[in-house]
Amino acid sequence: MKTPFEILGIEEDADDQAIKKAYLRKVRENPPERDGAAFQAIRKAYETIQTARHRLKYRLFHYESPDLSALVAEALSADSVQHPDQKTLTATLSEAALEQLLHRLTQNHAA
Amino acid sequence: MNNFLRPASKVDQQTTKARECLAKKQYREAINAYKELLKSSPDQTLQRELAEAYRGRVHELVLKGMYPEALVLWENQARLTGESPWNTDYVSWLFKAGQYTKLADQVDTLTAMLEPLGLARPVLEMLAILALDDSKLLARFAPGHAIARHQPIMLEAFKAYSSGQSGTAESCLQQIPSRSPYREVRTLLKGLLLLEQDRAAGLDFLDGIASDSVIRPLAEHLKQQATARGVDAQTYVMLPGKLQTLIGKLNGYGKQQLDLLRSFRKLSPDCPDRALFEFALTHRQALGEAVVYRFCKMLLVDYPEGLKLFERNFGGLPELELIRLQALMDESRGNGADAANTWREYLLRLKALPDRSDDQANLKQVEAFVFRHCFELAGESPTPGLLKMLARSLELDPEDRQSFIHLIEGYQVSDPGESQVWLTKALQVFPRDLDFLTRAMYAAAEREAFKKAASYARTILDIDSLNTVARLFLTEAHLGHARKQFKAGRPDLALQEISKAQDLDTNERNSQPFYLQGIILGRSRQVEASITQISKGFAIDQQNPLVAQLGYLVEINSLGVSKRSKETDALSPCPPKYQPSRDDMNRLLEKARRVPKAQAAALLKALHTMSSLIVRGGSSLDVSEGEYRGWCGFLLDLAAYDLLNRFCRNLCKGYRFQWPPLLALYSTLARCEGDLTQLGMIEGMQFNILRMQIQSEGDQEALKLVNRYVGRVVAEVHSLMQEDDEEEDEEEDDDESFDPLEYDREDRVEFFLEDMNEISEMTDKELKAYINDTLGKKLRRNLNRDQMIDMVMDYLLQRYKVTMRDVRNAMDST
Repeated sequence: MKTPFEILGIEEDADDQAIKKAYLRKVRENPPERDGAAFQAIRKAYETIQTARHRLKYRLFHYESPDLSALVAEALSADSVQHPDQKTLTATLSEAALEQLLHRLTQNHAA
Repeated sequence: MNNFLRPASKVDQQTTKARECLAKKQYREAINAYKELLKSSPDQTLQRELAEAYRGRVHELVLKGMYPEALVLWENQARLTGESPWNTDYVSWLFKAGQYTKLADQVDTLTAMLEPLGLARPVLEMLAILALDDSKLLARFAPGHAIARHQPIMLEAFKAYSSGQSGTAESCLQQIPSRSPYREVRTLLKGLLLLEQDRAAGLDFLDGIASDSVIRPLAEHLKQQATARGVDAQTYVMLPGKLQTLIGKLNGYGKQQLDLLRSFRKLSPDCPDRALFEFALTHRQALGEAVVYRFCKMLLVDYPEGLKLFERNFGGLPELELIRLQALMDESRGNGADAANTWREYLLRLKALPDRSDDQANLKQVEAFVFRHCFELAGESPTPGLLKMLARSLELDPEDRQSFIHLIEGYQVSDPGESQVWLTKALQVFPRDLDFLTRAMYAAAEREAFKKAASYARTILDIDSLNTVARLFLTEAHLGHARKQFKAGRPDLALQEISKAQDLDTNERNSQPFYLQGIILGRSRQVEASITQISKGFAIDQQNPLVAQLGYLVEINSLGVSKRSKETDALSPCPPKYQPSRDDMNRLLEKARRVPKAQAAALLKALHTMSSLIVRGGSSLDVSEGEYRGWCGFLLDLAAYDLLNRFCRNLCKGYRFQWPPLLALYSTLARCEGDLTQLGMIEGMQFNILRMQIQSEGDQEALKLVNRYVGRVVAEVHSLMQEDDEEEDEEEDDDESFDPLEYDREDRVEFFLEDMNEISEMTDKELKAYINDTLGKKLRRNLNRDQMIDMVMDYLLQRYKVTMRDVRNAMDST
C-alpha cells in the first residue's frame, strides 16, 4: 500500500525533475537482476506520477482495494538482525527437522 | 463308561476364545487370552497368533497416538517371531515417543536398513540435531562416532552465534568436515552469520542446503520470510510458533511488531470491514499514522458506514473529497452510470469552490480528465453522447492522444467523415505521431488521394526510415499516381512517378513498376524499351507464369488499356492449356492477395481473364486437405462469384453423390452472390440441410462462414420489420388453442406442407396481408416474393415444431 511517492522516497509536492532524479537513483540502487520485483515497483511508481498530469490523474482516480496483509507486511520490513538464543535456535531446528523426517518416513511407508 | 467324544478341555475352550477374539479384531482381549494360554505351555502356533494380536493392537495404539505403549508391544511381537523390529514405522514411532537413545544404540542396524531407502542420512542428521540439546542421547554414541566428535564444536558455534561472537562461530564451523552429519546445519548457521552483513547473500547461501536434508523446509521458510521486505504476513502467521519466533528475531522485530503479528493472526481471512478498521486504528503506532489514515480512507470506499469512525479518529473530510470517494465507491460496485453522475456532481462542486483552491487553477484539466474517465467507465460501445463528451475534453485539454484515438475509432463506422476530421485534428496536435500518420496514410490511400498518402508515408519514413509499411505505401502511392497521370494523358509524368517508386524499391523486389512502365512505354510506341521493362518484371516474378500473368494483367486493367500491344502480349508467359501446379496456385493466390484494394476492380477483371487457368489449376489442389479454402475465401471476399462457382464445380467433379459441405456452401454463396435472401424455396431448404450437415461435422471455419452470411440476413430482416406490440397484445391469438405437440411428427409435417402449398398459390398482395395478419409483422419496405416466402416458412416451421430435415424426409419418401 505504499504510494508511488513513498516508493520513490520523495515528497508529494515534488516536481517532474525531482521525481525523475529520485527514480534514477532508485533504479541504480535496485537493478532488475538483483531484485526484479522491487525494480518493477519503482518503474510503475515512476510511470504513475512522472508528470503533473499523471499526478493529477492519480489524485483524482486512484483506488486500491485495502490489503491488510500488505499493510502489516510494510510495517514489518526487516531491520537489524537480532540473534536468537541457542536454545530457541536448536529447538526450532529440532521441531522443524523432526516434522520433515516423519513426513518422509510416512511417505516411504505409503510407497 | 464308554466315551467316544471327549468333552472339550479348558485349554481348548480358551484357545477357541482367543482365536475368536483375534478374528473379531478384539486384540486386547486376544492378547490376554493368549498370554494366559502360553503360561501353561509354550506352543509355537499360539505364539505366532499372539504376535499377530500384538501387531493388531500396535496399530490401534498408534492411531490413538500412544507410541510408548505401541513400541512395547511391537518389540514383544518381534521377540516372539524372532524377526527384527526395525522398519520405518518402528523408527517413526521411536522418534514420536522420544526414545532417541534406542535409535542411537542401534545406529549401525538403523543405517543399514535405511540406506537402500535413501533415509539413512536424514535420520543421522536428525539424531545429530537432537543431540545438540540432549546429553543422554549424545552419550549413547561411541566416542569415535562423528556425532560424538562434532557435536561439541557445533554447539559452541551456536552459542557463539547467539552471543554475537561471529568470529568464534565462523572458526568453529570451519572445523566441521564436509562429511559430517552436521554439514547442512553448518550451512544454515553460515547463512545466518552472512545475513548480518548482506541479507540477500545470506538468504541465497541457504540454497546450498541439500534438497534431501531434514532442515531444507526450514531454510525455505527463512528464505521467504527473513527478506529485507519482511514477512508475508498471511504465510507467517500459519507457521509453527517457534519458527515465528526465530523469524521475528532474524527480522529484528520488537514487542510492538510481534503484538501486531499476534493480533493479525487472530483476524479471520473474511473478517468484516469494521474489524479491519478497528485493527488498523488499534495498531496505528506500529503501522504508521499516515499509512493508517490512507488505509482507512480507502476502506471508506467499500465501507461508507465507517465514516463516523474515520472522522472521530482523523477529523472530518472536505465535502469534495466525500463526493470523490462516493464516485470511487460507485465504480467499485460496477455502477458506471451512477459513478458518472457523481463525477459530474464533483465537477459542479469544484467549479463552485472559491478561487484559492489548487484544483481551481487547473479546473479545465480536471474537467477534461473526469470526462475521459467517465468515457472509460462506459466500456466498449461509446454512444454519440459519450463521444461528444470526449470531444469536449479535448477542447479543455487538447493534448491527449488516447482521446483522439477513441474519437477516430468511435466515429469510424457511424460517421467516417467525422472520424477523418478527428484524425486531421490529431495530426495538428501530434504531427509526428507514427500511429496517426499511419492511419492518415491508409485513409488517404482508400480515398485514392495518393499524393496525400505519399506525403504521410514520407513523413513516417523521415521519423522511421525502416518502416516497411510506409515504404510500401509510398511505392504504391507513386504507382497509383502514375496510373492517374497516364489516364489523364500525361505518360511522361507517369513515368516520373514510376521512377520515384523504383527508387524506393532498392532491392527490386516489386515487379509492378516494371509492368506499368513497360505498358506505358508500349503505348508510347517505345516497343523495345517496353519489352525490356516487362521482361524485367517477369524475371522478378521468378518466371512463374501465373504470377507474372496476373501482375501484368492487373496493370493493363488498371490503366484501362483497351488495345494492347501485340509485341508485349507475345511475352505472355502462360502457354495455351498450361496446367498450373499446386505451387503455381499457392503463389498466384499470394500475389493476388498483395494487390492493393484500390486495384480490386482491375484484379477482378484479371482473374476473369485467367479464369480457365485458375479453374484448371484447382484440380492440382488436394480437396481432402482443404487446400481450396484459401482460394474460395479470397474469391468470395472479392465478389468473384462466377469464378468461384466454376472453381467449386470443377473441384467437385469427382464427387458423384454429395459434395464436401464447405465446397457446396461456397458454391451456394457464389450462386446467390453472397445474398442468401436471393435463394429460392428449394435452394433455401437445401441450404438449411447443408447448414445442419456442417454443424454436425463441427467444421468451425465453415460454421463461421454460415453464421456470417445468415447473420447478414437476420440483420436485414430485423431492420425491415417493425414490431407493433399493442396490436400483438390485442390480437386474438388463435394459435394458443393449437398445441402442435398433440400431433405426431408426420401430421405436423403434413400441416406444414399443406400451408406451404397454400402460400405458394397466393399472390404477392395476399402474401403480404398474410404476413401482416398472421405473423403480426408490418413490413417497412417491400420484400420480394422469395423473401416473404422464407419469412413465412420460418414461421410455419416454428409453429408446427418441425425441421427442414423432417420436411425433406417426408418429401423424399413420397
